[in-house]
Amino acid sequence: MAEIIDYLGDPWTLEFMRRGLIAAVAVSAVAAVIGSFVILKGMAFIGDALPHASFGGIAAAFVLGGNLFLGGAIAAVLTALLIAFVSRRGLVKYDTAIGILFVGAFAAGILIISRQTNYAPDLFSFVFGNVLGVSWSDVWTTAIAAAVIVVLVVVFYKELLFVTYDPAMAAAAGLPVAAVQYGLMALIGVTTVIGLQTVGIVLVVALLVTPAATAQLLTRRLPAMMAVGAVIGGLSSLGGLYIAYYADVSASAAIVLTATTFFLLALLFAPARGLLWQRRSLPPEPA
Amino acid sequence: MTDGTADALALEARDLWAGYDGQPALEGVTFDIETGCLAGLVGPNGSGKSTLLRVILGLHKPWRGDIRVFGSSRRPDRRRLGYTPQSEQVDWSFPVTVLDMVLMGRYGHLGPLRRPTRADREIAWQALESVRLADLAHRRAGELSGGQQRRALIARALAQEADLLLLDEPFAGLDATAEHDLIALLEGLRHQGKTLLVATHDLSCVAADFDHAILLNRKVVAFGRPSDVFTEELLNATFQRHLLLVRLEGRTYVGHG
Amino acid sequence: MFRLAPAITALLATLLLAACGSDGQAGTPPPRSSPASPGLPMRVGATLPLFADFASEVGGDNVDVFSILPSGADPHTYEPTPSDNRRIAEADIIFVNDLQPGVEGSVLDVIESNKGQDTTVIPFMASVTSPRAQELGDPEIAAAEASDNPHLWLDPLLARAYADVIAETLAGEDTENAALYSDNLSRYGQQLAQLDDEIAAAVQQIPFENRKLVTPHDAFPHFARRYDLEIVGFVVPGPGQDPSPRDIADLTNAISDQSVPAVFTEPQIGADSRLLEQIAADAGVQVCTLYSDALTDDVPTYIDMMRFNVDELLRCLGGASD
Repeated sequence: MAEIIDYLGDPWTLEFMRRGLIAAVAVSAVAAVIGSFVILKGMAFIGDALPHASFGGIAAAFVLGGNLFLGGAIAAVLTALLIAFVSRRGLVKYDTAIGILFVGAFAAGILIISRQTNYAPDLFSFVFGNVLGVSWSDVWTTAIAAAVIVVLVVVFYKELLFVTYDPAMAAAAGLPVAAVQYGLMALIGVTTVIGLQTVGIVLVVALLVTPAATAQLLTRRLPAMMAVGAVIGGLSSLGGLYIAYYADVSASAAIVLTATTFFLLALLFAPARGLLWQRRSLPPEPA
Repeated sequence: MTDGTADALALEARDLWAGYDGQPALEGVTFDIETGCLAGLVGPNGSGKSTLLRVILGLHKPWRGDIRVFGSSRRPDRRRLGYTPQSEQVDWSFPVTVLDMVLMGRYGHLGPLRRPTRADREIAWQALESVRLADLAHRRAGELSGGQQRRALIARALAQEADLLLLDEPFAGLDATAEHDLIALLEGLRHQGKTLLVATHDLSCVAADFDHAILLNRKVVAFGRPSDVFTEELLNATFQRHLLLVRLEGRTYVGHG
Repeated sequence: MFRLAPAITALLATLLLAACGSDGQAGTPPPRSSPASPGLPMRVGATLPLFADFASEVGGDNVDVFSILPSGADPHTYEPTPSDNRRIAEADIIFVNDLQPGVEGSVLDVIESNKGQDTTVIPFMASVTSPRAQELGDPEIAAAEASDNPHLWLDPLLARAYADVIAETLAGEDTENAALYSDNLSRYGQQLAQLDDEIAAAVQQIPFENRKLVTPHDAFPHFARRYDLEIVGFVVPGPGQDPSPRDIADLTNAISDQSVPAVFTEPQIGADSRLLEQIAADAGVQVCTLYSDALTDDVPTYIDMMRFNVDELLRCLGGASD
């Protein structure tokens, strides 16, 4: 018994593991809440698109001598708002707008940098975080920012729900649909930036999409989906860190693969919706 | 009939012109609908039925013309206007229960920071009961059959306590029984004093059960009682094709010529 | 929609102005015939500004040197412009570190697809003898064959070997000026020898137990071997790898156990440097800087770079240890 306790407790004797866990859990929670809206609207690839778009802002900040992290954040949020603006016109779908705009922002960054003949560090990955490399101040900043975003979602829950679910009906009922849509995109932008700068690009994409998708298979209602998604994200972070510690592998990769495993398990075994369940409930073949 | 007071007319349209990208979808549309009336909006695809509903709701700005809802031409009080969209436009995979959906009808009454109260839930339950969906309240919305989904959308509009309901193609894809049930429900609502404007392709249904019909093909070809306006000449002008009217035992049936 | 067009035009114009405004370089080089005619300088390219520096020292006014990668650029995200491609095509000689991707990444592919018919590509590592030749029992084995760590130039004696290769190549292409190249090589060789002495003397001033290096990646084995420094560890086990918890714990422990006074980050690496800074904070040691393959306005030549490194080593490792 004592051995098991040791086994479970060992990783957390290391300070960087404790910091990494808190940071990853904070990011998982906010990413699952925001990610629920992202996957229900079919925008999953925005999680990869916005970090790339932020490169335009990073390059501009570098040239202007500003703070790279802030430049990246501004570019990501602006791109998110622009995506909303373009798709609201109804001329192109969300994923088309995302594809066009993020590549444009990224290419703008490349263009700015390609003209730099002075010292030009590897800007794009400069702002990537590493879950094992966060400082305590990073941890607290991330946790507070995550909490603020979750509170905003709770406070404006019914507006977000109605506008995401049925914008035409919401408009007919008098809700400020444009404001809510832009607001949601801004929250997606900020969440992505927080994730990117705290835990890095691989993890932010996965945490935004996979736990929420897993929760969708297991729940019937949106609030439950968000809560279950946050829990699954947290468990993936915990499990992934254990695996990374004992198997001596990359923490990001281990967390992502743990989250993916949870998804596959849900895909197979989810009550009523899992693949195996559906097979079992087929009526017997006629004789 | 009319008694001269403004509220006797639920809806008045005067010379409405509207369209998209410079192409007109409505040309000089003019009609009246009395309060407590079950009115059908008929016309072929592309005739502007959905556009007209959206203009009435304030979702689409007309180029020209006037709309009065319950006598007022200011921005309509959104809460008095209920709307059920075409079923295909609703995201049935969204994780909401039937009750969640119907409760959304109350959101227009609440401000940004307020949560639905017990009174709101009561109203939602009553709406569900009036469409006979109360026992399915906790099912996911996507698990309902076509007819049940229509009733859920109507329950949402009822929960809103709307006085004027605009329904876009509510009978599409329903079998005869479900359609019959739905018409009974609409007639019940009319009895309660609500006004309904239903955009539909089902001409026989309008001919049989509706008080009023508007024949629309970008312009209003005619409006009035179905017995007056459902003539071969007017219907052919609306649909630009030959339709067959068959009067049988006091009922009118409309089919392809 | 009609308001979108002028907004987008304005946005694009601003981006172009920002891009153009940040650059001080002139536009495209004047057109030349190829190959170089006698009397005109040879066109010599190099992948890194470091190598361009060597080439300038050896070639003098007889060569027109350009570096493909700008100072500090990361080969993995750098995109060549059309004028870069043209210079590659018109070059007479291009010096690269190795034909394997190593420190130069995809720039090698760019060179391969754009070089002119008469362009000669010379990989340094294939032409200098491996510093481990004795160990490996083959006195003539080339560094490339021996799969040495690519950062050979951080040992000034091996930098001299690079300069030898350059002199030989230039003399081969431009026999008229062979004597000139030989003179330049001697002169530069003396400077490198002097640098070597300086570094050795400086290291002597560092207490023996402090001669330890911790860096973001494994760039300093040749430097360490030359001056008898110990490489305690590095953050990234291999290129593009993500260190595991154990890697980080081992490195942190090693820093503490061996009382390493300071860790050294590199200026141009992002997340890995920050990780190292966090490890240093946890271990309670100072963070200093070492350059491995970048030149900047502050350190514009190889010799400047090495002197900066030595000063940093003295500053951070020198002095009594606790």
